[in-house]
Amino acid sequence: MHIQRWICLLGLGHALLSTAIGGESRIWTSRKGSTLEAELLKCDATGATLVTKDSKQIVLKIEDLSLGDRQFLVEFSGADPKILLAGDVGEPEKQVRIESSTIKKLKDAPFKLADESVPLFELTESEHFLIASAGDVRAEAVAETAERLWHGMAFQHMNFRRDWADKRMLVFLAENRSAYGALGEWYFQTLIDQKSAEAAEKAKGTWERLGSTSISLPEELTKTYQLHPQAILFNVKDAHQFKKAMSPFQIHTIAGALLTKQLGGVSSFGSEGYFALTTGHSYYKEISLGGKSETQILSVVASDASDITEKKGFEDGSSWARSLKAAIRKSTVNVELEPMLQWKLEGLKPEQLVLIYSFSYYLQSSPQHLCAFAAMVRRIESNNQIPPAIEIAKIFGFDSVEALNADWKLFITEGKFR
Amino acid sequence: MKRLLGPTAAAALLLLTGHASAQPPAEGDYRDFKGINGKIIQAVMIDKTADSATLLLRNGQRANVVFTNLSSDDQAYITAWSKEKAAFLQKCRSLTIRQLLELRGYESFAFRLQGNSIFMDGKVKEKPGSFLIDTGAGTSLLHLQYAKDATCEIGEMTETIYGVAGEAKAAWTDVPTISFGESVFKGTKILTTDLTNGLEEGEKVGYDGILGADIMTALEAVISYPERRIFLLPGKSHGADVPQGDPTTMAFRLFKTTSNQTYRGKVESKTPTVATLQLVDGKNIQVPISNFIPDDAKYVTNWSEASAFFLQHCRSLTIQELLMLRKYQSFQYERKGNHIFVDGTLNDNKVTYMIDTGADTSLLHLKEAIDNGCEVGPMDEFVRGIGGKAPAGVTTIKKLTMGEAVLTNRKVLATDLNRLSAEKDLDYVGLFGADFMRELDAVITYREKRIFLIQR
Repeated sequence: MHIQRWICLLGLGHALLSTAIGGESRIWTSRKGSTLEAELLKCDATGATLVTKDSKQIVLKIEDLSLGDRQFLVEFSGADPKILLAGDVGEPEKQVRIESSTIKKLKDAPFKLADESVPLFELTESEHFLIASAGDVRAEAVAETAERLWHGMAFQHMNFRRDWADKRMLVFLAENRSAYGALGEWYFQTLIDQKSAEAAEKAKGTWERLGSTSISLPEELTKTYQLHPQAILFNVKDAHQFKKAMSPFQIHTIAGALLTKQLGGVSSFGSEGYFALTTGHSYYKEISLGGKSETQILSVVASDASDITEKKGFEDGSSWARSLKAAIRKSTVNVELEPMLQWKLEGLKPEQLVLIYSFSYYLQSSPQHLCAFAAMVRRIESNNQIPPAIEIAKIFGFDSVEALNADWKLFITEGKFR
Repeated sequence: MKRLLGPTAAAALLLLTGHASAQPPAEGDYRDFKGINGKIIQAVMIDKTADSATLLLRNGQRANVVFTNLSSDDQAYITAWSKEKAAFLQKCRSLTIRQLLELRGYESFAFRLQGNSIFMDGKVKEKPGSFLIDTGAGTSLLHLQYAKDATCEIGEMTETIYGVAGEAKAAWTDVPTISFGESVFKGTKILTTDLTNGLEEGEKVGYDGILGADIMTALEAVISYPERRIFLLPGKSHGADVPQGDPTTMAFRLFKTTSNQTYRGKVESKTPTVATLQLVDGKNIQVPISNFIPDDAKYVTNWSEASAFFLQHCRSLTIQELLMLRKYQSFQYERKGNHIFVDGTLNDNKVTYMIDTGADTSLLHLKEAIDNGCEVGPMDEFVRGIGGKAPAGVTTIKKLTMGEAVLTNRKVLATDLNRLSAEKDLDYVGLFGADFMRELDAVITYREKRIFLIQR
């Protein structure tokens, strides 16, 4: 694993021989993305003392450590939970430094879907992603977006790095039409082989219209390339969106895929609210990090994809806050969690989509809320179900759903929602 | 509800000494001390005399309190408290279960999570396999195809085994060796069954066998969800290289090299490149540090005489003491056969749960779910396991407790867990599964017969 030099060190001048006890080492992460593999020696209100592999002691400031690391200190060394609230929310995705040398084209390793004679995709590798690209796109830009968003997740969720392990996530980036077509044929056949004929029909129906989606990889492919089973697919129609890192559409898709991976799936009876939480998160990250929304979502009703509709919020996201406030004033939409958790894509109105976005924004709007959000994600990861409204309210420190609704409404109408 | 004393009430209980603390203690050090009048004060004990204790209050002031002004529980705590032990435990705060158990000769394995199920590698003869770690399985099992691939001699399918969905046929199988790391059992018989039973057509079994409670009991296993590890004691297996019960084994740990050589020993000394190990038979050997597997190389690199001295003293620390430092609660569990049971409540009724790491999600017995006021939906879901698949209903639990852990508004499935012997009532309400154990960061110890939980 590539370990970057930690740049926020205290006590470097006091590198001491350690009396570390040879136990669990952990990769510690700073807000700026620097990492350090070391063991925890002790922790107090201001700093954590770590012992590096070469037995030197280093003291790190608590507020420079990622939220996930601070959670680890609370759980494994009895640190005061108040350290979870140290520092501000920040934007670790923007603050992290991605070294261009960590993203490289694999010139001698073309990517084959099956046994095609001429490889259709070329590979670009970053620390946590493998980009299979075809056509006029900058794979490096998408890799950088993905790595930035990965860091944001690792910063916030204690188990994210551990759950990710040493695998990569595959991202298809297909601008070349024949490559995209071939990818489609391969994927439909893969679904049929997996006895998912209905899913194959749906995929066929939307294949040309979609901008991005998540696809399941066959086991052989995941083993060959050490991949996670879910891949991201971009159907590149507007190459401009893929020339630079952190474009809104890239953010929307990848942020959603990373949260979905961390949630780990939900049971058939625990999925109510899944759409609202994951969709809201994608839009929240897209607008907060990308400045606007470029994303419409496709709704497929019929099994043969003959009934397709598109959903979006108001314009490009820049007016969402203003329009939502107006909708709330006119009571076109009510700030209520319980009904919102039941919403699905079918029949969704623009103001409802924006309310979903506002909720994800609200859930990540302060250090306290970020901690609660991480706790909620962890709960979903183990319980395989979205907590009902009353449980979400409790996780966020409210006695009732009504109290949460009131606070959320205040955040929209008078808080920093924008 | 815990309450802090107001200044007036506190003054009645305590004699404030007015010293400020230089270094505030960690949150986990505070304890609720209860006066004989029932008032509670949160403080850290820092010293004692023959008849009084010195407490550090949350506001940083110290206070002397006479024993007799405190509850009997607190008096017992103060009597057992020693300054040296408290200082020692402070140093142990960051010790992991892994460190503690490796000091005692345990071998540790990172387990793999798939959903909430946990898996580890093992071998039957020389055939590698993936094993589901399942406290709910009284006996270990092999998948039929795996036993065949390992060229084991499989008997007739004359035995019957039982699971959540019913029963299935199984055969006693001669297993010359089954091993998990250094733990080896020789010449055993293990039941073999077709684990594809109940799967959808074309669906593959994701594992080759079940590591059940019989082997885990024998190897005094410890399962730690927070560390995502299982610990086994090879000294309890047929492959033991030291006599069982030999107290000196406590001083030795296992070291492995990249060429698959295993040593049981302790570090005597080291240079930057070479470690000298004292083996259990008293001989010393020198091993280049680069020859060790990465984990052991790191252990040796970080080893120092000072740390070794500290760890020598840690050996007497129990998992319970270690986890209590982190505010875990623990329960002695009841063992019936190889199954383990813990008391709790279901919608405020006292009940018993079976602890089952093999249950991906917790599961209630249908009758008990209804009798205990759970809302049970139509039986249009399924549970799958040994015996195939069986109908189940989505069930809402308003409140479930185990000790101080309280889980509210949860959905689980309920099925008839007693379908094969309806004439007898079950003496438990269902399976406390891996979903809740993950959420509560459970630690299960077979030797101490305890389960530890913490609610984050």
